[in-house]
Amino acid sequence: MNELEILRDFCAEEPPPGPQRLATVRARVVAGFDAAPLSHAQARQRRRSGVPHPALTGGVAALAAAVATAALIITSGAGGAGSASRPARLEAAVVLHRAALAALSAPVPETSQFIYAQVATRLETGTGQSAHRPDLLRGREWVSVTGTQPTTMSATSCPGTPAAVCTTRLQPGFYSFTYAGLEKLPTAPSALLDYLYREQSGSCKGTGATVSRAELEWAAIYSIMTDVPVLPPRFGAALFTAAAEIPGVTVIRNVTTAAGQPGIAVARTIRPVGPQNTHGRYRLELIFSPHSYRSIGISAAQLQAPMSTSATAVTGSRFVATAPPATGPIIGGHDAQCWTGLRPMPG
Amino acid sequence: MGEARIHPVGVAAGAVPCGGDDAALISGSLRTPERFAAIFDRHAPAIHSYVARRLGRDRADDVVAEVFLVAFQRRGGYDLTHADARPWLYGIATNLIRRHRRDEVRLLRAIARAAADPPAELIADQVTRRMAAQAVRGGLARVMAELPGPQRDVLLLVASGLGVQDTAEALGVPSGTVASRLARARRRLRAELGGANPIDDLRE
Repeated sequence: MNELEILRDFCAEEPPPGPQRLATVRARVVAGFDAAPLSHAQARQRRRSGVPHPALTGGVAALAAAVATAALIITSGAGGAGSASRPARLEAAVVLHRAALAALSAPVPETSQFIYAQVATRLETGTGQSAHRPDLLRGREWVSVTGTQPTTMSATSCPGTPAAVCTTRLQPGFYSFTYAGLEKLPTAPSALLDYLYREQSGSCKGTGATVSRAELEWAAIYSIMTDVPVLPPRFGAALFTAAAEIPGVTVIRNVTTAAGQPGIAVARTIRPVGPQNTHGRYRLELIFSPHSYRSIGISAAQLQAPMSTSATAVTGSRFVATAPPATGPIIGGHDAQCWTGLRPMPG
Repeated sequence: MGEARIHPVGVAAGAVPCGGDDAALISGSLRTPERFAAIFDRHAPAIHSYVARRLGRDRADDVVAEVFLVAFQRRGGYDLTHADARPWLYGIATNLIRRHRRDEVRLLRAIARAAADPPAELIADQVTRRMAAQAVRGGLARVMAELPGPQRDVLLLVASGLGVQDTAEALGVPSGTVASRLARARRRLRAELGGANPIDDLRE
């Protein structure tokens, strides 16, 4: 062994950085992309290509800087994102970038554990005089990190059943996404969007519906948020960063989760185009805390009913309050079907 | 949206092929800045290890973030004939490390001191092999701390896996200069290690 080999061993003693450490550094770098000044060569190239850089446009740089510092100080409404003069997409991007930074501090379960979540779901049917009283369900769920164990759900009330408390076990494979599976997905925004598009495209096959790429990407993000209560930190940051690139996303202020918690939502309308308008129109929302920008819920509203149903509007939302990961379900129980219809997915 | 169409599931994030070689990614990032994140995903682990070895892990976080932000700002000047961005990134990292020379030397001296004063449990366990390895490590750290900065840069870049030509590119000096600095640094190391590795002696 010569001196260079000894030196290589010496260098190799430094362990590679863990994903959490690297994710934190990555978030700082990505947040700096918008605020970084352009060199003259880049500015020339942009002018030639006609592509404006956000950092070159008036107050946008200030907003980008606000995103960059949000890791340290996150305040409600900071940056005045509610100004009507700012493009809606930019406003949504600011919320999503803040959510990306907040996602980095999500709790990380062990692979042998379950993710424990407190869940409230509100289902509303009908509008106007035909509106029904919303069904509100509260419960707890234990979701397997690897997806190899059944998901256990315990509800304190079940519409249509006499049981005061009922338990449902969803077998592995019921959900499309698992925590462990998400950790393997790409974190570069363009690659992640490509994956989401391909993943969601399959759901339209055979339906005769045509859905735009942006709609499919947004629907896939919504599906992930439905399936997995807590996202892996690095993936969560990547997901919201990628979501900020999807056109047509807007901010809805002063929303309320199913549990009555105030939030700020980013939303997109999905309107599958098919023969005889059989697919309806939906708005899928991701809801964040207006203070910490952590994900606190999701909501799906049916803005226009499909022709094949009589309902004029159906809204469901799901509130997720996560606790430190538990080692496993602490309840036993019998199988019941009361929870299986509660995933607020359109169609 | 990106040209990448290779299914990424099951592929480690750092190895996700998202848009071709480094030059293609950097070129694409001029129009779509977010693409530069893929450069981070590919090279940040190695750059972090390199910086952490020289400045310690906590300082490395700050320096690595700065490396990629500086690279991002300068990407307009990147020579797109170079498919591999590693020499460029290592060069930026080395320049930033120079601002922290004192911290680096302090760290190396601390390693050398720790090796000169082995923990009691090592002696109690009579793990001679580990002690020998620790002595080598201490000697190495001591020499590294005493080396002139440019020689240390060359030595550590080569030890990190760059060839002489890539190291020259990273440092912006002729390859002949790199070769002579490397030779001088290796001579110093060999002298410190007594021309032989004590671990090898134990094997005999």
